[in-house]
Parts: sequence; C-alpha cells; structure tokens
Amino acid sequence: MRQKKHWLLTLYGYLMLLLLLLPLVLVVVTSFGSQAAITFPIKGFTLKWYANILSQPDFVTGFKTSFAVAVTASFLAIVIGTPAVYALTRRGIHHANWFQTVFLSPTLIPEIVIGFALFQSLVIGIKLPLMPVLITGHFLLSVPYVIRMLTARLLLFDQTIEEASWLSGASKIKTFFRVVIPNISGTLLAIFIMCFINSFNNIPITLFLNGPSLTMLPTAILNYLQNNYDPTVSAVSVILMLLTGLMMWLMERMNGLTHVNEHLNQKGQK
Amino acid sequence: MQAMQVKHLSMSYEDGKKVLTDINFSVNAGELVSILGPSGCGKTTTLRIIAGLQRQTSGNVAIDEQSIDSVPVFKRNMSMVFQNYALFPHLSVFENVAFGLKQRGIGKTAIRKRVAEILSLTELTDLANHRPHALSGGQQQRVSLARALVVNPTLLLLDEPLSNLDRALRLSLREEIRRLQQKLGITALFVTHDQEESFAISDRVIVMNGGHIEQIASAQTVYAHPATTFVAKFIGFENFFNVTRQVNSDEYLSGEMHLYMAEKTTKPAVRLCIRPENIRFDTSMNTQQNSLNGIICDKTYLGRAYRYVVATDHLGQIKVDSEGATHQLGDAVRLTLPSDKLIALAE
Repeated sequence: MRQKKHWLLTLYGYLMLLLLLLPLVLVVVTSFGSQAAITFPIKGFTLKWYANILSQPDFVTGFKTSFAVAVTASFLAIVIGTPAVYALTRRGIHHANWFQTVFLSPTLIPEIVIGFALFQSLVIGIKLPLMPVLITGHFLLSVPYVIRMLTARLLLFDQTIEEASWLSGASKIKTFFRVVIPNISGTLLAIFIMCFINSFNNIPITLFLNGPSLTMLPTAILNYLQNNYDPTVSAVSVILMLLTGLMMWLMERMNGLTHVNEHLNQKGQK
Repeated sequence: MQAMQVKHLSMSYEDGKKVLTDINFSVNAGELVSILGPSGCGKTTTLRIIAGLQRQTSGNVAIDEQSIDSVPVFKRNMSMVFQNYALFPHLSVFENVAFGLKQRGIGKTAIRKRVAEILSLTELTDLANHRPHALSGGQQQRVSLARALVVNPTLLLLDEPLSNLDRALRLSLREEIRRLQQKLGITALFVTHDQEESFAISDRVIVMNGGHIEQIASAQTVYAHPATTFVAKFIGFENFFNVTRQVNSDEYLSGEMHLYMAEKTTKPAVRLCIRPENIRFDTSMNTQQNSLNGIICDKTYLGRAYRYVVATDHLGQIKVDSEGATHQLGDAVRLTLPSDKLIALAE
C-alpha cells in the first residue's frame, strides 16, 4: 500500500541521498579537470587522465589481477558455501547455530586482523606464495555473504518440492542440481556479484598480501596517490563506480535480491 | 491381493516422545484407503514413512510381501500429492508432469504421448505451457495429481490434498481423484482430518488417534458402529452414557436409567452413545422403553436443524437435533432414545 509521506521525511531522505552522492559527484567532476592537481572547481575539460590510466602499468595489471582474484574467490565461496548452507538448512545438523556463527565469523573479526593473520601464518610461517593466500583471504571475506543470503533463500524454498522430486525418482544429488539450483540461480548470481564487488574493492586484507610481484588495483591506487595527486585517480574511481553500478543493475535485473528481501520483510511482519 | 502392508510400525523421536505405536494395516490392490484423524495423530508420519521420507523406529513396510525399508525414497515408485501442491516452480505444467518419466529414462516421444494422455484426462491440456505460479490452487493441485499418476505408481499417497482449497473445489476435486483412481486402477492411501471427505472417497477408513489405530472398517461400518469412544466422538456422536452395570446382553443400567439395545452386545460395554439427530421428542407422553423426561435448557439454530439441549432427570444433559422449532426454553419434554440407534462401546 502506498502511504502519503510527510514532506519533512521526504526532505530528510533527499538530504541524506545528497550527502552520500555529493563526494562521488565531486570525484566525477574532478576527473575531467585539465589542471595537474585535483582541484574543485575544475578549469578546462579533458579526457587525458582517462588515457593516462592505460599508460600506468600498475593500474592495468592491478585491474587484471584484482579481477581474477575477485572472480576466483567469489566462485570458490559459492561452490564451497552452497553445499554448506544446504546442509545447514536441510539436514537437521547438530549445533547448526554454532556452524552458522563460525561461517559468519569473518565479518566479526576486523579485516585488517585477518590480513595480518594470514600474512603471519601462511606467508611468513609456511612460506606459501602470495597469490593463493590472497585468494584465501578474499574467499574468507566472501563466505559470510554466501551463508547469509543463501540461508534466507533456502529457508524460503519449500522443502516439499524437493521431496516431490525424490518421489518422482530423482536421487538427492540429481534433485539438488535439477530442482534446487535452477530455483536459486538468481540468488546465486546476485551473491556472486556482491562477493565480487566486495573482493574487488577490498583494501585491508589486500594491503598485507601484495608485493612487488603482485599488484592489486586498490593498493595500486593508494601507491599512486602517495607520489602523484593528479586526476588520474579520479578517473580510475569513475571507471570503478561505473563497473560497480553496472553490476548492481545486473543484480537487480536478475531479481535475486528481491526474493531475499521479501523473505526478510515477511519475517519482520510476523 | 494385498499391495502394501504396514507391520508393527512404531516411531519415536530422540527425546523419547512416541509418535506411532504398533501400526498394522494393509491396502489391497486397486483400493483407496483413507487415514482419518485429528492433527497430530500420526497419520502424516505414517504416510511419510511409507513414502521413505521418514524412518520408523521399528516395524516394516512391505510391497507385495517384500520389505522395502532399505529402498531409498527415489526408488520406491510411489507418488505423492502434497497439501501445498509442491510443483516445480521453474518448470511448465508439461515439464512438471514429464519430470518423473524423464527420471525413469523414457524416450522423448513416449514421454510426450504419455504426458498428453494424462493432461487430457485431468483436463489440463490448455495449460501445458503455463508455469505453476500462473495457475489457481485447484489447477495446481490437478497438475500435482497428473504428475503423481503419470508414472503409474505402485502406491499413490495423498497428504491432505484438498485442505488448501475452498469447499466447492474440494468437492469436485475429491470426485475427480476417486474417478481417476478407479479408472486407472491405482492403489491409494489418502490422509485427511475431514470425516465426510474420507467417507466419500474411500473403500475403507482407518481412524487414528494419538499415534495408534482406533478402527479399520468400511465408511458405513465406522459411521454406524464406531469401535471406540474416540471414533464415536470424532464422527458425530455427542451423547455418551457411562454404564453402571450390565443387566443383560441387551440391557444396561446407566445410573438409575435402564437402557435397552436392539441387538445383543458381544463384548461388555463401558459406555453407550447416540447421535443428536437420532433422538426423538415424544408427544404421546406414554411410558416407553428408553424414554425419559427433561426440560429444554438451550436452543440453537444450526441451519439443517435446531439443536436442543435437554436437562433430563436420569441421564444429565442430552443434545437433540430436530427440524421442528416447536419447543421453547423451559418447556418440559419427553425424549425417546430408539433402541436400534444406541451403540455400545467397549472402550
């Protein structure tokens, strides 16, 4: 039902939105300024900073590595997290709450601590190369999202539908792939995108686990800022914003989040 | 021929709570048997154990004398119609019905032919390409029925299939289920809490209560001769008289009142009972067998009849249903309990 909204509340809403978006608008505007330092208001109009991105090898390889790490970590989180959530919601496992807490624990520990712990134990301790440790870190970052969002979706998914499939002659594994997965694929894609964005933009864990041989985009931006204060950083930020925006839009189109939200709303009303 | 037997089936939870106690019954080939009972009586659990969705603590389930306890649910060749339809949301009506045949590795053309047959039998042909969410509740349940029938199951299980539908649909779908079951000669087990539904649809009725079986008999027998007090209460007997002493095999004493039965009882009875609609108001005031005086203390209109509550001098309050509106509160009346309508209960 549509309710008539109070004008003061509407004003407050727009004010908050402005507060959130204003810095982003500033970044977009400064990326087109022709002066060598980031200033506002800008003088002149140029696209050379966008061109400059490509001439910075750190940005280019950083983008590629960050992209690869984000895809791998998100994929692993879903492949490993989905069966776990399925078991937790379906099989009446003992101490299911305890497992839930363990899986969600990466959100409770400061990311910087996770990064340091991984560096200390895996890189210094057992001398693993950086890449697999980095992926592990981003995997840990992603798992809670898989657990949270998929638990909501699977609780919403009527279990008798699976029983109907078993009775129809499909084994439990076949049922999982032919009946459960097709019905939660929208949510899975939404989760993947969510994990990807988080991993791609992550700094705290990444900071500990990159090095001369391994450049990630967020840390490359940080490094660049220490030596240069030109609008190239603004231009990179604009590209990242566009990428994130595109993914959010895709996620909405997949309708994956709507299911989860509906479920949460229903729970709230009870 | 007995198609399915359940022998000494018991089930209890880990905390020791007993759900089923020594359940024994069989379903003959081509027969529709219903399990009738209030919620929590164990009827659905029994059905789910037969399907292989739950495990019993002891006892076994057999198909054609062969125990199937070690057969997993997906190899039992049974079908189930659920209360909430449980259709596959991502598949069309056609694909929903074809699903079971696909799992059995049947060829595409054979599937198409068989599904088309069942869809026309259940009058769903026009909806073949629709998704379940686009259908009404009644249509969804017909799809669910088609999906269950298409595989020609050894046993068709129906778990309160009509409970989510409104009354008119319930009646028509009930007839459709019975028609298809008989036409296809399918053996079926139907779980319901609705007495009328179970009587209308089944060859035999199993009445369950508190995890055990109270009575197994034809609908007519259950209706006319309930075996226990629970069954009698569940199917509409509302007047119960405790037996103080058995005078003869056809004469009982309840308090001061002598009650005569039309038939001799074989087992000693603890209680006699009679339906409200079987009690007569006597206008003649003659002294007859089984008649007694009382005063009307409540009157309610039920639609099909008036419900009178009569405070009697020997048997306490008696409920009487009568079509006439003649009696008023406070009227002195004389009731007769026809001896052929009195039922003796052994427990």
